[in-house]
Amino acid sequence: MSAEVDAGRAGRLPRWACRASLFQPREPAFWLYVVLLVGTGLLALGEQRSLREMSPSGWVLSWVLLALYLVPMFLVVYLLDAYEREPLSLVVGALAWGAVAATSLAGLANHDWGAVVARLGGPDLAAQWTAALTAPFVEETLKVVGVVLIYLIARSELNGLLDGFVYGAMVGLGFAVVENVFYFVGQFGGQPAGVLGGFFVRVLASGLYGHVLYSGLTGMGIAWFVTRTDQRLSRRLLIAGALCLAAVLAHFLWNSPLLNLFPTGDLSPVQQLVAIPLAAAVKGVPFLVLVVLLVGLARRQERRWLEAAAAGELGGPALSAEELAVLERPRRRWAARRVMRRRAGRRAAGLLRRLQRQQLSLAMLRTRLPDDHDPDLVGQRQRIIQTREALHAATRSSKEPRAA
Amino acid sequence: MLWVGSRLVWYFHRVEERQPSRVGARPGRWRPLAGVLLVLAAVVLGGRVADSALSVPGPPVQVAAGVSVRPLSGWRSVRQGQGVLLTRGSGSLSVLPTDGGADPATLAGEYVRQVLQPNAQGLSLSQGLQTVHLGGGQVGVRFAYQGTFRGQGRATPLQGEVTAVAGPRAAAVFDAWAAPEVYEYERADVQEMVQTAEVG
Repeated sequence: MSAEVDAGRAGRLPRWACRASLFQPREPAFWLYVVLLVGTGLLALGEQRSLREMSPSGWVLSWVLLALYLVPMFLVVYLLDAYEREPLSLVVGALAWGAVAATSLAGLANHDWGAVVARLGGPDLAAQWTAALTAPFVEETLKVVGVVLIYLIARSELNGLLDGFVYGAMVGLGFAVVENVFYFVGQFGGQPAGVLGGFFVRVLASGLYGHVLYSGLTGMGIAWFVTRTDQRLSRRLLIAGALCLAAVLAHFLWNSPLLNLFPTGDLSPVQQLVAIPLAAAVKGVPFLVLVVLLVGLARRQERRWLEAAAAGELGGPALSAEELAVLERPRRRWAARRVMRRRAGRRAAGLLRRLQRQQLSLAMLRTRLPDDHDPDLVGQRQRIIQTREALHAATRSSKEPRAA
Repeated sequence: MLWVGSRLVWYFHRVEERQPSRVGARPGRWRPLAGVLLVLAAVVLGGRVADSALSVPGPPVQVAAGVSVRPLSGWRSVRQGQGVLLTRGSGSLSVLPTDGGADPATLAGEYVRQVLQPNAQGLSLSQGLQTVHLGGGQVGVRFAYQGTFRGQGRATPLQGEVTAVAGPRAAAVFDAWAAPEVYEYERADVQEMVQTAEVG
């Protein structure tokens, strides 16, 4: 596939190669974020203190188990962006919003809206449907506000659907972890056996389907709205609204009694090990498939952008077509470095890694520097040439002793 | 902890860049924030506002001399012996008047011995008594309970809350109950009706 062809298909390129931090004291959105986070942080601390008092051992065990969920999920989401990872401060800021602000505010709002459902539909209906009729609307709104604030703080960082997914999923991940601590201690009894049971039900059996996916999708909706300014406003609103609505519907289905195949009554541990994941899969897998497809499409779009951005450098001293083919796929980059390490040692693999990063940076720079002779572009090409020479030298020196 | 936090802030600030400052308060920076605040207010406070608007207290029902209660919309009152039963199908609140001057904790204890224990199997009570203050200034005590109760020929698991309030001339025991999965959604109404009751 030629880069020229891709340049046409890629459409308008994003402005990559901007690294904005969460800490933007000149942005009013930053201060709103801080005030809300600190205010709700006090509520969240009080909540955690009361959970710890209810069951100290269960509370500690909950956090230890959830760390086992948090760390790999964080890495998977963070590393999804193959070319320009989001600034860590913004990613952590999104996680903190979900864990602190969204959960605390949702605790207040869910309770009050639950009372409204009970008044309108009666307590019997409320007992069955409140979770479905309140939480999806309340929680998805509160979480998506986090993505909007991150965007308002650092507008240059939300430049594609994948970025929206990353920030949204991080908000959802923070939310899921804190909500699960509440469930493990408050609903599953808080004793170690109950906490382990809760971990099985809510994380091992259904941890792939929840808040991370919902908020990831709403984040994509926000990203679509703010980046596709080439589209009509009505179309932007329609598509962003449809993505947010899909997340709310998935959350609604999960919380509702519809398609509820979760087992009740006394079951043997073996039966539970089979029945609970199956019941969770019935509700969760279709939405998981939808989100995986959308993320796949978003990654393909970023690959086209990279090809289009790098097209002007192909055949020059900084980038060849073969190198671009490797750069496009993280797995190929990793495989190339592994081969290099085997062939020429660790130092050469490190140099190849640096070369790949510099080449990606060059492509990113081209998205915002239209002049081929811009000093930043020239300097970056120069750095690539130097790294390439160092890499050649490293591979030669690794062969010489063997030849001798 | 503070040191770790400040180091993290410093690290992010150093590694990542501040955006070029945009001098001046352009409306484009404030308008989205106003929208965010509006959405947050609607979601977080809207439920409370709607709940208050929907719970309209009706005219007071005189239970006995010195004891009256105001049923919220959706609740019907039925006279039952000396007292009054307020119900909306899934949940009930019984108001039982007694003589004034008693200690609320003693009243609560007597209610457990004379009413709850004889009718319940596997009765469990919350630990300790919670002090409650009614709108009229009276002080009472409250505890929660759960158990299986016999009634109308069958045993039914129920969850409930008893509030005992005593004034100088009259006292009352408020007993609210519903099925355990439903009681959570009755509690707000029940507590509001007890809160606005007049005793003494």
